[in-house]
Amino acid sequence: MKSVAVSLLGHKDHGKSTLIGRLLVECNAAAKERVEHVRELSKSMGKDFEYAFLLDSFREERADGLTMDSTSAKLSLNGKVIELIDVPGHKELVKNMLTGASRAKYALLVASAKPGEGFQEETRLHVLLARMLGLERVVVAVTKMDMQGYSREVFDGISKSVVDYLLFVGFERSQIKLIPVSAMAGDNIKTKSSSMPWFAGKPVVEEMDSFFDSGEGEAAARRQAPARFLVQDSVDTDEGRAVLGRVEQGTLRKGDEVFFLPENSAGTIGKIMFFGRAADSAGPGENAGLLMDFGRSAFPGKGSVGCRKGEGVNAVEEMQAKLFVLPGFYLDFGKPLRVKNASGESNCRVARVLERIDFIKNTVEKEVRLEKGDSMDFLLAELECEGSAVFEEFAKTPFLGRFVVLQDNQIAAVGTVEKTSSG
Amino acid sequence: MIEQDLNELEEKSVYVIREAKSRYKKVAMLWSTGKDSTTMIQLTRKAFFGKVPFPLIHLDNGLDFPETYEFRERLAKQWDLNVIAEPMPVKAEDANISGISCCGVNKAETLKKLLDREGFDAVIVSIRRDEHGIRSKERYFSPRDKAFKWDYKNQPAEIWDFTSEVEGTSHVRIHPLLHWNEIDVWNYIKREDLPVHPLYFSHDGKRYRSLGCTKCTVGIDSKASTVDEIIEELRNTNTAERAGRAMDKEKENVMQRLRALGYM
Repeated sequence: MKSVAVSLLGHKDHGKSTLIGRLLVECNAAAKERVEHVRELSKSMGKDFEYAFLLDSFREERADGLTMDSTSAKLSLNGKVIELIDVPGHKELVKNMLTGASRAKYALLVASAKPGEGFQEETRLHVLLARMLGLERVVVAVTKMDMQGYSREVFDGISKSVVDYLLFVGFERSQIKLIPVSAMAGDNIKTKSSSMPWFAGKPVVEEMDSFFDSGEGEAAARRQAPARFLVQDSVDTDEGRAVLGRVEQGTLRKGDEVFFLPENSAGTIGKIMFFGRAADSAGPGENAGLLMDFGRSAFPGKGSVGCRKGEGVNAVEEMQAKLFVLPGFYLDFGKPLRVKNASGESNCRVARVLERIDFIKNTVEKEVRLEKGDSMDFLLAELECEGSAVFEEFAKTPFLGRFVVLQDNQIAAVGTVEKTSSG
Repeated sequence: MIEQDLNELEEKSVYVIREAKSRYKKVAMLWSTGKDSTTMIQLTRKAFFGKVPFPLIHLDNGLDFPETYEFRERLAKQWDLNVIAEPMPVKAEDANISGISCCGVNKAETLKKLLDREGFDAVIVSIRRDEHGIRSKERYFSPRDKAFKWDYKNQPAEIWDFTSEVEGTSHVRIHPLLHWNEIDVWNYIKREDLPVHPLYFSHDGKRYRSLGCTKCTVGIDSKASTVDEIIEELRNTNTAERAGRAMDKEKENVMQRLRALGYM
C-alpha cells in the first residue's frame, strides 16, 4: 500500500496537534477507547473535547497544552496511508521538531487566523527548515477561522504573508496550497465547509491526496539514478564474506563492477544476497548483502559508499552549505567543524558566510564576517573540508547531501550541501 | 485498522537491526515469545541470512503460561536461538499484582542486573508507536541513564539517520518495529508463515490479543482461530490492542511512570 509521511509545521499553539486529532477522528483512525478516554479527560479538566490529547500523551503536555516531543499517527485514505507527524512548535524544542520533520516528504503548515496570532517567528523557522529538509509540497491550513467569522479578508491577508515567505525561502508557487479551516469546528477538514462558500479549493483530506501524485515518477527516477550503496557492516556467510548495506538510489546488478569510497576498493558483484529469496539486482531502499572479492584491497567498512564504475563521486574539497545551529549550541568558526554524514566524518572549516537569516527579527544579512554561528542562526556558508566523508549535492543525492555537526557527540547543527567543488 | 506495505516496513526494520549490530559492542534482544518479538527475530534472520547474532532475553517471572515455555523451547530449537531465560521472582506482596511493582520495578530491575552482569550496551525491543500514546513518543535509538531512567522530557535528537549521544548512558534501547501497526504484524506473520504462540488463537470463545504473564493479561471475546481470522477480526475492530493489559490504563498515567522507570 502506498504511504507518505507528512510533517505538521507552525508556531506553538496555532493548532497542529488539534488539526491532527481532528483529522484522525474524521477519518475514523482513532481507537474507540482512546477517543472515550480523551473525552473523559477533557471533561475532568473543564474543557470541550481536546483533539490534541489524542497526540499529546505525556501528562505534562496535557496539563500545559503544549507538545513536547514528536509523535505520529496514521490515517488511510482510499487505500493509501498518510502518516501525520506531530512536532512541537516551541523553538527551544526544535531538535524534536527536526526529529519528526526530517522523516517527512510533505508538510501541513498551520497558521492561526486568531487575532494576535497570524504568521509568527516559529512558523518562519519551520518554513526555513522545511525548505532545507527538502520537503516537496506544502499545504497551508489557516486555522481557527471560526474566531474570525470565517472572513475571507483575514484568510487572504495571512495567506499572502505565508506565500511571500515560502517563495522567499525558495519554494515554487506550484508547491503551495492554502485552505481556510477550523479544526475545532470541523470546517474544511474532510468535507467542504458551508461557512466559507467563497473558498473554491479542496478540504485538507482531499488536498493531501495530491501528495501521492508524484510517487510513480519519483520512484522510477530513483531507480534510474547513479547507483549508491551505503555500507553498514560485513558478515561471514556460508558462501563467503558479504558487504551489508542499503541501496540508497539506483540499481545494482550481479556482475556490476563496483568501487567503494573512501577505501577505493573495487570488485565485481558475484552474488546479491537476500534471505529466503534469490535476486539478480537490488533497487532503492533494499537492504542487501553483496558477495564480492576485493583481492588485496581493504574490505569496505561502515559508511563506505559503493558506486558503479564511471558513475563515481569526486572527493569534495569545498562546498556551499546551509547550516542551522540548534538551540543551546554555538559553532566556533576559529576551529574546524566536525561534520558527519551517512558516509563518515570530515573536518570542515567555515571560510565565508554568504547569508545569515534571522527568523526572529526577520532579517537577511549578506556576506557577514562572523567568528561564530550563534544558537538558532540559519546560515549559507562556504566550507573547506578534509576527511573521509563523501559529499554530494542534497538535491542530487539526498543521503550524501545532508549532515550534522557534532560537538561532544551531540548534534549541534544540521545542514545540507547546496554546491560542491573538488578544488 | 491501517495496513501498510510489508516490504517497506521490513526494509526499514532490517536497516535498524543491522545498524544496531554495527553500532554497539554487545547487543541483546528481548523476546517475550509474543507476536511482535517473534516477528523481530524473523526480521533479524532476514538481516543476517538466517542467523540470529544476538542472545534473546526472556524475562521470566515464573507466572507465564505453560504454552509460553513450550513455544520458547520449540522455536529456540527450530531457529537455533541463544535464549537467556532470566528468572524474575515475584515478591509475595506482588501476589495481587500491580503494573508498577511487577512490570515496572521488578521487570526493569531484573533487566538492569542482567545487562550489568553481561555487559550489554544495547537492547532491541519490539514496541510499536500504535500500541500506546507514550510509546508513540519514542525514538528508534533511545538511551537509558545509569539509573535506567528514560529522560522523556529531553530525548536526544534523531535527525535523518543521525543520533545524538548522551552522557551517562547505561544502554540504548533500539526499536526496529516502531513504525509497524498491529495488523501489519499479523499480515507479516501470514506472509512469512511464522510460528505463532497458541494463546493468540481462540479457545472456548476467548483469545489473547496482547500477551503478558498470567497475572496481567486478560483474554478478549473472539472466535478467531487462524491467522487469517485474526487479520479479519482486526480489520473490523475499533478497540485498542492492549485493552486487556492492566498497566495501560491511561488515567493514572501508569504507562508514562512505568516507562520512565525502565519498563518496555
